[in-house]
Amino acid sequence: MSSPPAIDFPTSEGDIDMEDGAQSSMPQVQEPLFLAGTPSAAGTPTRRWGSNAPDSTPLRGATARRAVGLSTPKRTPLFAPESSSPLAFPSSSPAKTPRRRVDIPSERPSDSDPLDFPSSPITARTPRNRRGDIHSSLSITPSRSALAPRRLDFNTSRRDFNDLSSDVTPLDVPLSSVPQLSAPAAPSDEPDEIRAIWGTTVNLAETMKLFREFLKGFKPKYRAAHDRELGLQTRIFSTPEEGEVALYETYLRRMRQMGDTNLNLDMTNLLAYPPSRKLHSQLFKFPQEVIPAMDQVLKDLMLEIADLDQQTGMEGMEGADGEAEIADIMGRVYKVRPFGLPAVNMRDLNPTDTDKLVCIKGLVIRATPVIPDMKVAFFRCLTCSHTVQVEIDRGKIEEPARCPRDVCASVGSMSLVHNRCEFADRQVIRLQETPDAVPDGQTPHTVSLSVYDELVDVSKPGDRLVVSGIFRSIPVRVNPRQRTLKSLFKTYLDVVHVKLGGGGTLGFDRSTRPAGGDRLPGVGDGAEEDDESGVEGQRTRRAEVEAKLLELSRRPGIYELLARSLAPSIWEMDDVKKGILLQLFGGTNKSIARGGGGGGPRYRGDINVLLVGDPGTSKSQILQYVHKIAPRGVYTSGKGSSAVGLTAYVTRDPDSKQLVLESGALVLSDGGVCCIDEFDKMSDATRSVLHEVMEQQTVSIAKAGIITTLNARTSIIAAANPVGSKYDVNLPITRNIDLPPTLISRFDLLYLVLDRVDEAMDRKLAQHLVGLYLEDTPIRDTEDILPLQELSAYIDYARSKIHPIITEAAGTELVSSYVEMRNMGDDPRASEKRITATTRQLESMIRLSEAHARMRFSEFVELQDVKEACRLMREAIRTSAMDPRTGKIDMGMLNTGTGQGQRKMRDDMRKEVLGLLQGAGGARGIKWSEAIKRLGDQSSVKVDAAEFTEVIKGLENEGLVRVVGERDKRMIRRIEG
Amino acid sequence: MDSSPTAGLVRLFDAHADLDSFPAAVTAHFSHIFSNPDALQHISPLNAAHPPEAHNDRALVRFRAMVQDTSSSPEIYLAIRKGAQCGGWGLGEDDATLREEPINYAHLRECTVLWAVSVPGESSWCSAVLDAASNSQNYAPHRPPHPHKFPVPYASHIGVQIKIYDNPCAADSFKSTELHSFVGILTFEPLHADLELDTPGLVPTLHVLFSRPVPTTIVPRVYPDFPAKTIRDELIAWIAASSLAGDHDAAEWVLLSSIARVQSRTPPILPLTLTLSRFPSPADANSMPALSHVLSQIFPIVTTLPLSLNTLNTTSFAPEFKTEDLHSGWLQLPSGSVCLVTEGGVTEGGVSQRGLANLRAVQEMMNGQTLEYVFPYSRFTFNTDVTFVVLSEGKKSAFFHTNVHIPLKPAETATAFDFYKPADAITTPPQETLEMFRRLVGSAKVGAVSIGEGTAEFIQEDFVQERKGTASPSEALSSDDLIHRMMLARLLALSFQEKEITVPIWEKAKALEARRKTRIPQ
Repeated sequence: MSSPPAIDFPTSEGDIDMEDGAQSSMPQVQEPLFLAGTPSAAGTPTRRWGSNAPDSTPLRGATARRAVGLSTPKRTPLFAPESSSPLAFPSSSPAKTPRRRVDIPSERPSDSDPLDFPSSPITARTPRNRRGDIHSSLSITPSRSALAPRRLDFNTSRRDFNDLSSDVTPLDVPLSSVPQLSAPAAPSDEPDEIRAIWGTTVNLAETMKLFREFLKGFKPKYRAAHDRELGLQTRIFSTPEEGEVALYETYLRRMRQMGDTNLNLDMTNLLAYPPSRKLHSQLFKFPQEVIPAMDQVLKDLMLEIADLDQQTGMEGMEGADGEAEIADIMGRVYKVRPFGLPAVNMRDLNPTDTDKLVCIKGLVIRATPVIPDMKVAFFRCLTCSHTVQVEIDRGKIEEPARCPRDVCASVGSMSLVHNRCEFADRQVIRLQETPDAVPDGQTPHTVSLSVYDELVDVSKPGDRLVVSGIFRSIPVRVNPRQRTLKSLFKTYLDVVHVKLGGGGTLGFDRSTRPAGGDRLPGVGDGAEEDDESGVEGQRTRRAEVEAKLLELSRRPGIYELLARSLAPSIWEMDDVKKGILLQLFGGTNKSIARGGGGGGPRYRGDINVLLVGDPGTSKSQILQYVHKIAPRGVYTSGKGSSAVGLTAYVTRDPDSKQLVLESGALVLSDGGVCCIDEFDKMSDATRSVLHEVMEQQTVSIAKAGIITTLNARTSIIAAANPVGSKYDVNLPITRNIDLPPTLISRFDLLYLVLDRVDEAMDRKLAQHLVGLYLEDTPIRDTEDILPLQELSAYIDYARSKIHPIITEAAGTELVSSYVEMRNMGDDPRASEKRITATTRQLESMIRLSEAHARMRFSEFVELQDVKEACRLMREAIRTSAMDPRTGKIDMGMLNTGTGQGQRKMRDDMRKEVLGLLQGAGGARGIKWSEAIKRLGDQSSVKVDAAEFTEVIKGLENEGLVRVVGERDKRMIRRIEG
Repeated sequence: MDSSPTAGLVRLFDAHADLDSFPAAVTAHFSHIFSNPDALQHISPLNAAHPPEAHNDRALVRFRAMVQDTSSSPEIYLAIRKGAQCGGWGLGEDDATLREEPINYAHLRECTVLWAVSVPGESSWCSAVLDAASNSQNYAPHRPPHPHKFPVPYASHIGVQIKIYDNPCAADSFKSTELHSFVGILTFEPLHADLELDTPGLVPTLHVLFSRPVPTTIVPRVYPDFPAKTIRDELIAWIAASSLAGDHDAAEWVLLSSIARVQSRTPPILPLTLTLSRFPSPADANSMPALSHVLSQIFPIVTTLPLSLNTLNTTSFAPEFKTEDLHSGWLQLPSGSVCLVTEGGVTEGGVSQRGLANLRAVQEMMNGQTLEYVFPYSRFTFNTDVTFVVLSEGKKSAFFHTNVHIPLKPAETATAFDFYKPADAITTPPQETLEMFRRLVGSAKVGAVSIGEGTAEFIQEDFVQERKGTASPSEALSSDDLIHRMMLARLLALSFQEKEITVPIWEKAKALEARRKTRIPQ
């Protein structure tokens, strides 16, 4: 490769201006810059080891190969890391070339160039700094001593190159334009080489120097200062010294101790350290060239530090140990893994990002198995057994067309020896946009990622990732019609850094991963700070959302606003909405962790709500709405759901001969809200399951002989219709709904939603509805309400972040409220006690208070929370537990199904029945209907047939009476004592 | 110049200096040429009668299509080829014997790639109106290259890869299930995702010069169109006589629920869904109800979803992203579609998880007019605007809950009526009448009605009085009933081509509702 000395840009340091895309103003900018392959004295401080390298070739393997005259594979498999830089020089418009190339005559220690040393078998070799994600033409090793062979090499290769130039496909040639090659330049022996990125004034030597300074000089205090400037929250150092540590030196030592070869580098730190600021933009614009340079610096520094430590006699580094350690380091490939650019949306990636470092986030939908990726191919000449190694170049192995030995030069004699080739790990991942990044009405886009080496198998399908990588656009030739080729481009990312759990609401569940099993490789930034410091853009966005929610939570009247935003299309029902709102927030789950037996029972924090009411009172609408907002909401109808069945059948109803669907759709949502419509229509079997769900929060399933208990930590909101089609206000609630009282009592809040005929209200309602449904442009409520997503985000945030604790004052208030509620039943004039509150109500009150505190983002349950909880409880009890016959509240009605008033009435009736039987012909018996009639004559109130049945049943059980006959012919007889 | 769009494109390129504004200039240039609808008619259509194979390579075609999939990543192309030639629009072909030359990365531009299919359920008469069937020869039946990308499994259709060069940002404006008329150059290219294959299959590819949105009625309509009283009666009578055994009320309900559309999402004013119960099951499970043929004669987009255990358990109703491709589902239907769900083919047997998910998808679409597309590890909700008519044999639908339910009551004269007669056995009215029917329903589909102050007052008072008048609270009119009635009144007004809901219409709605209620056994 030619390296005309003229092109050694006389760049003075001051001229370097990376920010603007680095336009060189020099006239010869069109000329590709090939650098003299002279060793740089300044740039290679590690001469000491360099001399160990047996030899080196001045040429990049690619050049050599090219010289050999290769065939380009017609098509290349997708995702092959080929390509990276399909290179070539932007011939036409020099003014604007995103393409640039560094061409550094690389030398690899011990890289025996087949051209020059045709038969030298390779013996000891140090690894080349080869990384799949970069495939840079740049390859630097610390040693550059052997000058002579390089010169020789250079000439040879050029000669060959010219010979074969007609075969050279520019696309594959990472070299510049062919003409350049035909103008051989005198090899220069100048001691200083200037290595620059082609087409720019970026001087690689300087880049390396800067990075070196950065690694040695960066201290956490710089980052803190930088963050403060941007107004970000900074970490507080526990001691001033903590901010003064040379952070990367400690990382480097740790890498040595742990045998790690990857350094994760937060690019924000480059910005924060004043001298290295321009490195940030260099790295961003020319990762292809800058990263290998950084790798080189890293290795140099690793060696330097190891050397230093050996000299100072650091523990584990003395004498022979130290030598061994240093030899190890020599043998390793070190990689810098930069991250920390703001994440962009993947649909914003465009051609101008090609070959730049970009950061995107998304969801892994597919990952291929590990693909062995050939790095070095091994060929042997069938004629003379001469061997040649060919390095992969942009995914292509160029098979030598003929034996490179001049003596042999047989054509087509080179054959691949598989088991002597070298392979690396590669994996292709498909990353899809997450729902929050996709514009409305669009389907998500997907990009391909190529990950290499340590990053392989780090992520699994379903993970959310933030990846940093180099964006590639490479041409693919296809053959749509015979005889013609067509260039289409495909794009993908060569990943340099991966971070798991890229924010969003659904982070991955760490517990699903084996402990330490797939830790991200590497030492360095972002490791200890967890994901907080990770991606700048991410953090600020999340902070923004958080700040917005926090601000919202401080708004006066947030409670009313949230309640109003819940099902805004539903008329009135404020208390119902408030109760449901608190259900969505939920109380805190408590478990007695330190109890005997390690972890006592778990007390539910979930609040259950039951709505009972007339048809057409929007109960279903409320449920639908909750289903939309609630996390893991499941909506089901009690009708036709068979408990926790896992299968569903279409069967013909034996009675009606109609097809019905028996679905096992009631899949209870653990950790969510289960909305059950038509609760009263549920089969008894399902209901018995619900008993368990609502108190123990588990579901027991007996299937195929195995009985198992599953968690079902779910709140339930249910809607039930009254027994008749309408609620009869003259009967107690238990008579109105066909549900066992034991089940009803498990609901924290029970609301009666009644449709009362009230002219004024009706008119208002009609007006509202007509306006809503018939106007051309429906009037929207002028009241401000939160959009559904915001409400949902608010609830999500509170549920995951706020875990309020009950304060002393609140505790006292809870106790007194409970006592007060219980005392409501005390009537000095009555001898019996009505039950107005039980411990269940106390528990409910605690949960509601906690939910209320959570709703206002408070870490503590305070007096106001308890007050509101009690108010809601009282309101709910007033509507549901009022005994319509006495007008008094009686929880017994809900708990046992019979109110105290009812019990008293039954006692009276019992006495009367016994009296009746005692009288006329008790032994012969009294007709059922006759008994009712006679009781009715005696009583001032109508005798309820159902009550009468209950009384008789009780007497029967006591063995006092006997019922004979069926239906209308039933006779009640007294059993003679 | 119409003969060669490529030549026109190249000429334009040579005259145009700025690379970045070139795609917009192309759109402006070609849409100007074809601004006259008649000129547009001259472009040969891409449809079942004119499949892709029937066109020459790089022919100018227009394609009325539904956007099926927007998930392909944008594609990069070389905007200036060797020798300063125009790139893009499929012009990248080189002679294989030529050497490759270096790529100038500064000339790379992006184009949006979509997959579009012919409008699912489009009635044949639309094509006859819009695509003036010219020299239609007989071609071998077109075999679509990616059949899984059409909502109706195994149905014949055209599926085309669409490449849009103008303003990639505007790509976001093409949304799934939207209807567009794409005009461009037809070629065959490999699917972008197939590039990794050794021999990528070629798919028809349309390089768009310009595109126009297609109204939900396919043929543009205005509202109000003409006084519709008599035509409306004729239409109902025809539907009843030809497909519903003379049941006029049922026919009216079918008409009303089919012209419904999403009026507003907050508050939700969605189409009324209808169940026609007591609808006899067919003798042969595969036969289509005559109602389906009749609706296709008048509505522009009608899809019949034949429920059976097989369709439930083995096909997808919602689109699903599988093997790197968005597979379509039965319910990926354009706005304005009428979806006729027949339960006649369902037999006894197990419903799989997939079947349940399918049933749920239909119910959710009925309830909220949204459809969730299934992606790996995530779901995306898309708004829909599709009306549903469910035909059920039983007393009510075995699977779905609809807003309106009416049992079919065949007229006494219609004994042995064949509900499943084939399309050609249906007597169609004269062409002019049929055209009036189509105009009527089309214009009702786009119309808007308002309500006068007086009528609003009347309705409110009516509601209050009716509630007061009921003897027991259990029979009182609920607010849901009121909402329901108002939606019905709006549909009635639309079907009469009235601009305003009037008291007589309100009374008609009440009467219709009352007649329906008497049919439902208590």
